[in-house]
Amino acid sequence: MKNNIHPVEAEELMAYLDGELPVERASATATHLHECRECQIIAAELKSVSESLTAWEIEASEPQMNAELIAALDEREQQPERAAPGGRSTWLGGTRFRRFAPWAGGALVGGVAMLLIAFSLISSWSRGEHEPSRATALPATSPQPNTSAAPMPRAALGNDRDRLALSARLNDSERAQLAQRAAQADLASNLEVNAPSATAEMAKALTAATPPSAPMILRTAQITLVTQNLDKARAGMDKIVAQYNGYLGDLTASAPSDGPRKLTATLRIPANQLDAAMRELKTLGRVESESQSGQDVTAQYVDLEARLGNARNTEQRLLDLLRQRTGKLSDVLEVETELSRVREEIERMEGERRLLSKQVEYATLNATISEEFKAPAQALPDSLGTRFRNAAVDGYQSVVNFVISVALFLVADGPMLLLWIAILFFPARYAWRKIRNRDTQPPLQ
Amino acid sequence: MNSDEVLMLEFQGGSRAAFEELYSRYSGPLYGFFRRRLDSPQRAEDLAQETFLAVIRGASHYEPRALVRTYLYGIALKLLFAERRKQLHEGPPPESAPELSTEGKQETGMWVRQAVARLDASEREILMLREYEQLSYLEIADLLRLPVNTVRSRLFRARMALKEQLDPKVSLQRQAGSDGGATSRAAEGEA
Repeated sequence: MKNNIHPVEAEELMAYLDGELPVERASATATHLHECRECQIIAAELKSVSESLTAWEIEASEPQMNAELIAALDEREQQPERAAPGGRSTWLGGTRFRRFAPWAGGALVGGVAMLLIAFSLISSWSRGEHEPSRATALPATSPQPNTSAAPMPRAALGNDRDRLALSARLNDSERAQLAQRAAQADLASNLEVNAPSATAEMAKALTAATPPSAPMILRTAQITLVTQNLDKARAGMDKIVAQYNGYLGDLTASAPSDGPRKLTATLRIPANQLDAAMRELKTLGRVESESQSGQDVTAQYVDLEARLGNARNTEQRLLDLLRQRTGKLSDVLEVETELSRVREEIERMEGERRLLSKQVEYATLNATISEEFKAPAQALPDSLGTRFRNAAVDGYQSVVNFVISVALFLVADGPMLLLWIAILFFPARYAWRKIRNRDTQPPLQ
Repeated sequence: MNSDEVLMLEFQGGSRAAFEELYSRYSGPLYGFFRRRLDSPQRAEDLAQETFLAVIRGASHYEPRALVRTYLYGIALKLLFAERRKQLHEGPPPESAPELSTEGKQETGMWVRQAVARLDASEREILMLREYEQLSYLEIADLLRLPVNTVRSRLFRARMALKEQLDPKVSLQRQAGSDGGATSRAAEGEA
């Protein structure tokens, strides 16, 4: 089989039959195989070889574990923390230890049990005693959330969530810290339930979702100004926007004849310079109203980051699955479909994250500037000469319009008019004469 | 049904039931792996058990980066190579003998087995891992530390060579060559 004749190599054909080709090559190979007789023969030969190999059968094995295996399992069960990998003996001597000192096992188990009880008592005491003090100590600490990328212990996360529900006295930034940690705890527990096989990867994704270095506040402000000169105010507003590296999001201007001119604009100003920009704006006129609000989206952002990390892990696992697993074409296609769905989800979440970051980075400032209302100037009446001139022009226009109308009427309806005249002329003349004769003849005596 | 990897993680956490499930899934395939490569059924049985013994002892080192299947066959391959080295030094075990009778289907099996045995060693291992252990190209490449393309090429060559070996005409010629003049005369008479 030569490449210049066949677009598919024989090896590729074999890989296709083994389900080892990427989807795009697999579909091309399937199409070619459907058409090419020579490749069909090769495929049949390869299948025949595989079928022949099934003739080499072996007798069934003994499904029971042997004594050594059972002993190793027992040993591991008894000393799970010391199941020495790769070695045939433990530091206590393994089976020899049990043979020579059977009582020591019981003593060891008892000792371990006591240690465990002591440890659990200590840990419960430390939870009961230390954590409230940590909670009350929180306001004294820096408002910056924990930026450490180290994985957070699950128990600690759970406690934080409880504290979030109970501590109404904490300030916003502290609540944001606790909210994001609680969101991580929720996600971690969900992941553990849904995909225990991938717990390690998911945990990695979770810790990779680094919390933002400061609380993420979505700031919105509104200001209404009244100015004497709207044009000057508009220019001033543009200057302020440029000065603070912001941009104009939306602008609407209106100038009704019976009311003041008005300008409504949505400005996007870097969040950290919003206050300064507001101060500058107030110099443009008299402030009629002003308001500011902030929405904490830290938890939302962390949640989004974690979900994004997980989706990327899922994508990676699917890619690994595509590379490593053998299977039917339909299975491969199914994995491809799932992969494209996950990628769509990743793109959507990345978009959401970008939007959220931008919304946080740039505060929204809705500014309404209106001009003080001025009564319109009274117009003077026209002079007599102008009025005569206007009347003459109007008269001339009327005459011209009349002549044009008559001409148009004659052109449009003239022929029909002539026809009616021709039809009605003789009856009318006859009637006319009868009437005239009756009037001129003297009445009969 | 839990995946192998989940079972392995559960076993790492101390679940005996998870190990028993893994054992029930893989004891047969691992026995088959050794049985097709060794003459002694008893030795194949022992090595399959030793593979699981190594799993128990190395459970704490297992990381869910590789598939459990690949992990198990990796251990099995190491044990197999060690067994072959041992046989080279000490000679084959006394009980080693062809176990298959010459009846019916087993005769065909013997024929296939002999054809496989005539393949080049590196190609034979790849072919067997693919056909009997059903490993993917990538898994075979990982186990044998070869590039995937090499695995694919060798597998193709092995299959083509096996096709030739299993061809009745080739088989007849070989038999004629090995049996000498008497057999060749008989073949000519049949023709």
